[in-house]
Formats: sequence, C-alpha cells, structure tokens
Amino acid sequence: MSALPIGLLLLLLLLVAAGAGVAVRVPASAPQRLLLAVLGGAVALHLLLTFYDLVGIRWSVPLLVFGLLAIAALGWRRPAPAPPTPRLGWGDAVALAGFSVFAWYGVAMVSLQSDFIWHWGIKAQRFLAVRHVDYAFLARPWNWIYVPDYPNLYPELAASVAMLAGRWREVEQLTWSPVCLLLLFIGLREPLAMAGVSTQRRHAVVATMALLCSAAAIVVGLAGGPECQLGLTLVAALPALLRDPDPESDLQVGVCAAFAAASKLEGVALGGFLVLVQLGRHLLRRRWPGLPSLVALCLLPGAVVLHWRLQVIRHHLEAVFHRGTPTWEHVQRGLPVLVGATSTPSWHYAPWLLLLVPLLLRWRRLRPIATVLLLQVAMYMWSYAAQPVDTVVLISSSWARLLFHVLPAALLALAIAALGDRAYLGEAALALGDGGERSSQGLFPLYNGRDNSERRYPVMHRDSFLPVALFAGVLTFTAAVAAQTLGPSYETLFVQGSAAYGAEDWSSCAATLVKAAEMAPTERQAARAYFTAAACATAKGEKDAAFALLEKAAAKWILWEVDPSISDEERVRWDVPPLSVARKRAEQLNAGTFQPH
Amino acid sequence: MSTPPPPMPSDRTPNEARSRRRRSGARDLLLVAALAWAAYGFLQDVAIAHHRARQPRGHNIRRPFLWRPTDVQPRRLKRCLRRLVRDVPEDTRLVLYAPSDEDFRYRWAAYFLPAYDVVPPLVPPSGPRLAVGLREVPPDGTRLRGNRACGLYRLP
Repeated sequence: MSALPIGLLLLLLLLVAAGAGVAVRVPASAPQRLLLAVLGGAVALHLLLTFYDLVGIRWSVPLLVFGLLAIAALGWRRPAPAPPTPRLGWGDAVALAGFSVFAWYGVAMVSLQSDFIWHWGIKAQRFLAVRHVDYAFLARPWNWIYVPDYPNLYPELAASVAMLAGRWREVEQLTWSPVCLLLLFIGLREPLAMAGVSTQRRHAVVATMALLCSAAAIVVGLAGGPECQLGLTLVAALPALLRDPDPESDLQVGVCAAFAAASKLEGVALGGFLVLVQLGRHLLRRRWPGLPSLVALCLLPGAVVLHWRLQVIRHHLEAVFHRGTPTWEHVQRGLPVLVGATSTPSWHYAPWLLLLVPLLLRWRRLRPIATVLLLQVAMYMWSYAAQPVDTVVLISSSWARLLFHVLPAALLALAIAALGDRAYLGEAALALGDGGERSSQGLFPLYNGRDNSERRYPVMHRDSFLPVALFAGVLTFTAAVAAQTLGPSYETLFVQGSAAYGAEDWSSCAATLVKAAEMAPTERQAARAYFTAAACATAKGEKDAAFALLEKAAAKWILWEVDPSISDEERVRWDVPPLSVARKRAEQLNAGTFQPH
Repeated sequence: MSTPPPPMPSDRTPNEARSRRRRSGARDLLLVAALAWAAYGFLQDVAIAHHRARQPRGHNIRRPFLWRPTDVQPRRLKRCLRRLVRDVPEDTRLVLYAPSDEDFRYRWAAYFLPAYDVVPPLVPPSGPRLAVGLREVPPDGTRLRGNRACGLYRLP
C-alpha cells in the first residue's frame, strides 16, 4: 500500500492550476499567491461540481480534471507585478516542524476530529458513491444527525481526493487539514512583511503562532474537519484588508469569503462579514465601488451562498438546533462554561488575548480585520445564547474548535499592532484628522496596489466600524425577537418541541411537535414533525400514541423517495413489496382507509 | 584643516530616543517570553499526543464513541457489515438494531455503508424490510445471514 497521498497531491496541483488565474491578479508575493491559488481552486472545484450537479452530470475523474484545467486555461493572464518574497528563516523552519508533527498525529488518527466519522466522512463517501451531492439522502429525517444544512465543500474535496486516488483512504483524507495549517503558516508571513515588522521579529511571531496553532490542532483534534479552512480564510484575507480597497483586494476578499462560505455554516457568516466590511471600507471613503470591484467581491461568495441557501430551502435541510433566539437562561448557564473553555489547556490561555481585539480599532489599517473578528466572535456568542440545545454541552464541545477560526488572525493582527510600523498602521494620521493614506504610500507603494499618494480621502472617524457593527447587531436582535413574537410558525413550534425533547419534557415535546406538524406548510415538514413527536411519545412510554404518530408520519412520508432503478424482481427478492403495491398502500394511508394485517 | 560638520538636527530628544529603545526592548522581551511559552505548550501537547498514540488500544474500548478507525472493533464491524450486504442492492434501506446505549455504533455503520440507507428502528413502518442486528435481534426478524453479533434479518 502506497503511503504517498497521491490523490491529495494531484488535487492540490489541480487546485493551484485552477486558482492561478485569481492569484496572479493580486499584487502579492509568490507564497501568498500559492495560498490564494489553492483557495481559489477550491472555490472553483466547488462551483464546478455544483454545475455538474445542476445539469445532471455524475462526477468522474476525467470530468474533474478536464473541468479544473479548463478553468485554469480560461482564467490565466499575465501576472501582476509582485513584491519580493520574504526570505525563509528559522521561524519558517519551526512552522514546518509544527505542521509535520500535526500531520503525523493526524494521519496516526490521534488528532482525529470525531466529526470526520460522525458526519463529514459519511457525507463524503455518500457523494463519492452516488457521484453527486445527494440532497435526497441529506433530507431524510433520520439523517439530521449528519448536519445536512452545512455547506459541502469539505465532503466534495474529500470525494475528489478519493476519486483521483481511486479509493477512499483515511490516511489521505486526514492529510488535508494539516495542509490547510501549512498554508495558514505560509499566510502569516505576508501581513507581517507588509506592516514592516523586522525579519527576526517576524520569525519569532511565525514560530510562536505555529507552535500555538499546531499544539491546539494536535490536542483538540482538528484532522478531518474544516476548522483549519476557516482559520486559513481570515489569515489569507488579512493582506487585502490591510491594503486600501481596490479591485485586486476586492477579488482577494471575495475568494476568501467564498471559500469560507463553502466550508462550514460558521463560514457563511464569516464570508458575509468579510464582504460587508470590504464594502463598508469603500463606502466610508464616500465612493461606491465600481462594477469590477463589485463583481470581484460579490460574485463568488454570492454564487456559493445562493446555491447553498436554495438547496437548504428546497430540501428543508435546516437543522432546528441552528436556530433560535438568545435567552437569558442560556447566557447564565453558558457564561461560566465559556470562561472555563477559554482557559482550555489546549490553547495555553491564548484565547484570552481575544479581549484585546477591540484595541485594534485604534489603528486605521487594523480596523477592518478587528471588525470582522469582533462580528464573528459576537456571532458565536449569539449562537451559544440562542441554540435550543444544552448550552453547557454545546460550549464545552465546540469552543476550543471554534477558536481556531478566529484566533490565528487575531494573534497575527495583535502582533502587527505591537510590532508593525506606526506610520503604516495609521495611528499618527488619526491624530491629524486625516484619512492617513499618504503616510504609508512611501513605505510600501507596491502593496497598496497603485500610486495614490496625492489622493486624500475624507476623514474616517476612528470608531466608525464599531457603531456600525453594534447597530447591525441590535437590528438583527430586534428582528429576531419580533419574528418570534409574531405568532408561532411551524419553525418556532419545531424549535420549541426540539428544546422540550432536549430537556426531556416528553409531554410538552409531543404536543408541541404535533402542533408543528399541523402548521407545517409541506408534507415533508409535517412528516418530520410527526416523526420527532413519535420519538417523544416513545420516550414517554406511550407505545400506542407513538405508533399512531409514526403512522401519520408514514402517511406523509411514504414513497416520498423511490429509487426507480430497483426493479420489482429485486424488491420481491428482498421481500419488499412491488412499487405498485407500495403506492396503493400510500394512497390508503393518506385516505385513512389502510388496515394493517 | 577642515572643521567637522555640525551634527544633524534630530527630531527626537535623547530622552525620547531612550524611551523608544526601552519600549522596543520590552516588546522583544515579551515576544521571547511568548515564544518560550508557546514552545513549552507545544512540547507538553506533543507529549500528550505521544502518550495517546503509544497507549495500547486492545479490545477494552467498549464505547463506539471512543473508537478510532484503526481500532480492532471498527475494523471488525466493517468486515462484518461488508459481508452482510454482499449482493444487497445499493440504497436499500437497512434498519439498524444495536444496544440502546451504543447509538454511535449507528454512525459507524453508516460510515462503513455509505451507499446504503442505514436508519434507526424508529422509522415509518411501511418502508424498510431488511435489518442489521448488532448484538441485538430485531423483534420478529428472521435471520438471513451472519450471527447474533452481526446479522442480516428480514422484518415481517
């Protein structure tokens, strides 16, 4: 058995080729372009497989290779001028060592993320088996445990690796997360160089962060999940957020936002914040971004999110535990656990440094990343306070992992604030009441895309981002509360019923879910509610009621999905009634005339 | 003999320069301390991982929640499931019966049988007719293949 991850290596080559068209447009050093090429290639892969699904073509190796190479050929153009690559040094050697150790324990399955078995791996293998994203499989009510409303880039990547390798191998699959971590380490160098951090200090920062992140990845167990992808996103977007907004930085942010949105549910929010902040940067300069900027910034994340959302709505994939309104009870229960989880030994107290992130708003260049970080952390807090599940279990089982999304970028931004060039960061310019654009152009003209040394932007108040963020938060909160008070909808009742299930309040659980089933706008939703109500009745010990509810669920559900490729002979062979008999039975059930034998 | 040029006027007083150097030194010290702390943490965590990797993982890991794909139990489960579903059409619905305190075994089964529709016993009764029993016999099920620990059953 070959130990070499051939499938993964092939896929990486294809991703770099497909994403090169995006990477060469950005004025970045060669390693940063490599990183962007992988991200752009992954987004291209996601959209390519989505396209194949939409036109009904099953995935195959030739189609995958041909599609990605076609994207590479179409997207290629002459590279924009690039700044010099920061020289390699001891910090990079430490980063490489950190990556190697994580890769070693990842492949040895010591640092395995259990979700790889519980849902990511199941979905990936299912998609590999049927050669498309199997929404019918995800929509089955008992498959809610596979979190069907997550975006599917990770399973698609895993299925692609297996297709290229010719088979499914855990060893190969578990190497993707360490590769993302390595790309994250590569991405640390560029922002530090941009901010004028001296060479030795840069190596020290890279080494410190590499050791911290590798240690957390090893102990928390991040091999086999998309957490490293989200951590990588923010680090990859940081150079664009440090630069003045221009079409190239818009493109970079757009690619990163699309990559995040395709990776995980939290990434959808992260991608949204990145796009909003970048748009806000344009607007705060009192200029509406031009069409090229808007396309570069919004097209990829828009396509990813739109398709994902439409599929979630179409197949009713939304998991009830991903919705809810914050409650004071959750806050009270969750706060002590959150404090404990922030002191987790896995991160060696580094998460407490997140408290310093608001201070980054002081520096003009760091305000965009600080705003994104604050919004993302606020979203996690909102989610903890709102999700209708046991808050204690939720926080203690997820916070150490979620920290990986924000902490690398937060630590990097803090390091830049502490060690970066003051003139570049824009602190002095604030004191003058000027936009401060001029102060940095002389130092790093290439990084800022174009020579705009004579351009003076209007004054941007130092706290502009904070009130906007707070206002958005208050508005969202109000909207959510208003939506809850308008009257119980199917969704509200379903969430309440599920919460009662979590609290083991069986009577209330069954009654609420039956109400939800009656309010359900579609038969699928009604079936789901009846099915869950039957679970409540079973737990309560009411067997007859449970069977009655199951029958109602069956009446709504029966023959919802039929595989026409299975012939009646095969059905008879496995003692399954022929399709015509099953259909007749469904009609009887729906008409209430069915008599069990 | 020419006189030496007058010193260039500096925009910083000696006190300011000294204070700046001191701040810079403090930053370097902080950075070194952070690096040392991270290195210490990393070594500690690698030691934990090394211990986990070396820990003998024999036959005593009962809870499927704690299994790793390389452990004996999941490999045995994989072998048994693959044998059971030999020549069963793909996408067939299989009801999985396992002891109630082992619900993660259900996910392991789904992981090993991705082409099939593995469902818990609580499904609408009109659908499935085949069941897999893992140390649990489905009520009124007729065994078609395997044994009590791992068998394929036909449901009435």
